[in-house]
Amino acid sequence: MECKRCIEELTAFLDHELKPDLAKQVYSHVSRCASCAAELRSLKEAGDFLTVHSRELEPRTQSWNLIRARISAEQPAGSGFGFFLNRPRIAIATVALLTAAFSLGYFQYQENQREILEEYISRYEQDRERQRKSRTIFWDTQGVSGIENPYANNPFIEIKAVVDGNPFRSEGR
Amino acid sequence: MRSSITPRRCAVLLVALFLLSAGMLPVVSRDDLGRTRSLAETQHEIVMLLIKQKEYRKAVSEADKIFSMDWPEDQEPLLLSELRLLSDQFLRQGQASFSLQLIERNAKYFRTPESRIAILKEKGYIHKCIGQDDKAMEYFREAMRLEKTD
Repeated sequence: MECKRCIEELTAFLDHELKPDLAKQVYSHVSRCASCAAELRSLKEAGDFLTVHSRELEPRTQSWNLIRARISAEQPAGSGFGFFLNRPRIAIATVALLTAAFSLGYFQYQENQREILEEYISRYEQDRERQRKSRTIFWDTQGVSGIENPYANNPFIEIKAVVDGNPFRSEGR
Repeated sequence: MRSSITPRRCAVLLVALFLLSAGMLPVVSRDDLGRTRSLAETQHEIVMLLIKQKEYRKAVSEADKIFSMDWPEDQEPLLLSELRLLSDQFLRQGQASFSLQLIERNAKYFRTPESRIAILKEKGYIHKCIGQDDKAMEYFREAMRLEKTD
């Protein structure tokens, strides 16, 4: 066996993973070759060191928590939809609920607008009727009672205030 | 400080004085207003008689004369009440189309937002009376919008 091949198989040899024939060949080569024997020794020492100190090399819980926090912080932005992509039924239900809520809000708004407009129209109708009546009712200067206005239907006729029943006396005199 | 009397201003003043003396500028005195009112009063009676005789087309034409008279701006409320009154007269005779015609033809004489709003409301009311609810809503909505922005 050549040194190069022997070195390639040393790790497997130490781990008892080689077939018996190959293991024998490696063993006989290492017994004769000083450099391969040294290589085997250093590999064995490294293995022993890891076995003895493996507990000490384990990362602390605090470090794991830090790593976990960084991983979750670096998740892609669109991953929120991932929840829905993985659950189509919930996604459909959510869309249906949102649509229903929006429609309800819209119809409510329309209804409010309609009510406001109807109130506006009815107020105008009342005002109009009141104005029409005020044209046909003539209030005397004391504003006591209404009598039929003889000039009801002509807004251009100037009605002069009559004080104390004297048509020649002006108001304020 | 520069003098406020420039040759250009002097010329404008002279021309204005000349026009005033020649009676060419439309200055409405109280006497003129009284005369206009008196004419409108008579014209109004003519319109009312024509409506009574069911001569609606003629009535609208005669009514136009009232609004086209030389009215000072402060008389707009008076004209508005006349427009509403005549519109109401046509409407009570079942002549909504003439009522609308009267408003359409004379709306141009009304400039204040209050008058424009009142005209829109009246138009809406007429459309409502003849069962054109959608159109009525449109006019009332427009009036409401104007009232809010005013």
